[in-house]
Amino acid sequence: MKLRIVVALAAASITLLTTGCTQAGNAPAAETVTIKVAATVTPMTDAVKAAAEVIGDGYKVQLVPVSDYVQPNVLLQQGEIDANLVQFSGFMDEFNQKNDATLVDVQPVYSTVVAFYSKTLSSLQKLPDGGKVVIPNDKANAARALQMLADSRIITLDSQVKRFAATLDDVTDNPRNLKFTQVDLLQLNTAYDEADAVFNLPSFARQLGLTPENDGLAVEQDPQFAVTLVSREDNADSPEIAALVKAMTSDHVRKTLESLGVPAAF
Amino acid sequence: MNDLIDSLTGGADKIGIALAETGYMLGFSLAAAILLGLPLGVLIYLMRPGGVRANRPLWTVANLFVTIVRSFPFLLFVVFLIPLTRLIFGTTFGTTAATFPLCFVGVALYARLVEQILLEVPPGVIHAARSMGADAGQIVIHFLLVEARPGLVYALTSAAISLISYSTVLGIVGGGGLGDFALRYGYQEYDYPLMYSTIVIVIICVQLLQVAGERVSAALDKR
Repeated sequence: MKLRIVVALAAASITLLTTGCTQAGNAPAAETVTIKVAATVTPMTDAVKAAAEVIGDGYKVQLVPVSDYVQPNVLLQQGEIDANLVQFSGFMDEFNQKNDATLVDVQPVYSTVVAFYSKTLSSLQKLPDGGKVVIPNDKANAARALQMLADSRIITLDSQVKRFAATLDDVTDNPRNLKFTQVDLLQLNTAYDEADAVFNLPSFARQLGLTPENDGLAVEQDPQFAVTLVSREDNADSPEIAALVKAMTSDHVRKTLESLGVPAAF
Repeated sequence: MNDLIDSLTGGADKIGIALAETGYMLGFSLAAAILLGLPLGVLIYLMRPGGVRANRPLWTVANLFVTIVRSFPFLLFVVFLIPLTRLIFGTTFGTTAATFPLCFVGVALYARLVEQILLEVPPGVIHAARSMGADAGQIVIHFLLVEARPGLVYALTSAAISLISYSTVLGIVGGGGLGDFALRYGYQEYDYPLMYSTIVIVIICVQLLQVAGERVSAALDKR
């Protein structure tokens, strides 16, 4: 008897669920379309929230916070979200290539002005023998950091390796015997207190009262590293992504980014 | 298959380093668990209300310490300890500094497990010890710990395996280790063969620990 009730309830709930879904699917076009956009940390999340405030009529932007840089692309490729704002184009290309994915870069949103900072030194040239240098532990940012050091003639990188593609293994000459430590992006601010030189992103450096213009020992702002709005091949030309791009390139988003010390890239 | 072989041979020396880092972190945190966690667990057992040496204020402090350390999301515990870590090691980065928060977890985790195991020792054992005129120290050394030996070893095995899992978080402060290796070179670079083969190495390590723990525990079990 009990079993029957359970079965009946289950059947009823499935019917309710499926009819519920069909109704949502057949909703008239006049209803609000929700655009789901994944982002990880500030200023990406701030840009998405700002875009949500100025999105055109008929659309709603929902921020999907993710604390990882691979899942936003996986979610997007699986169709669980509509766009993400977490990466530069090169990072997306690598994801596409290694995962047979079809993500598309739609609109650069802001440029990342990365720099080396030091509490004690006024120039990278003053790095002492055996000095401690902290760089990020993700491949893309580590490569940027090493490239800056190579461009400042502090270290030499393997000439066979493409620009912005080097890892610590590609350091062929380290005349100052610098000790490199790789840490998570979110730990770079802590590292500033104890290392001789630390690579940092502008959004984090700002929390220490540091700006690339005033405090950066070496600064790099290559446009290929602009953080870019990414969607999928099958929705890149859709009206909702067009609406999202319009909101994301609005003055409101520009002002929001500038208030965070981040230059807009549109 | 070729991908797998490429990944493994390309990363072999790095996997070796990562394995050593995990071993280093595990070794020190387990030492802390035995040297500090075991006595702490025994004290919590003795001082609990109605215990052999009931002492409510001290028991509350010790108990609270264990609860707080175990409640902290581990990642945030690492961040929380940064000032203390820097004070002691002069740095918050690298494998040695990363081991420090792991030691706290090892102590708290093992202390709680020790307490639970002692609570299961039949009260008759303590009555017998008392009737022979044993004091608190003698009760612990000659009766409680002897009786609970197999369980204590088994619990230490469990703690070790949990610590391996906790250690995977320590990549954020440059701690390294197998978990961090799988995350950085496997997951974040989409090298899934490398990721899964590293995980298999972790599984093998855990299995070896488990079997070793079971053997030692069984050998100590005189019942």
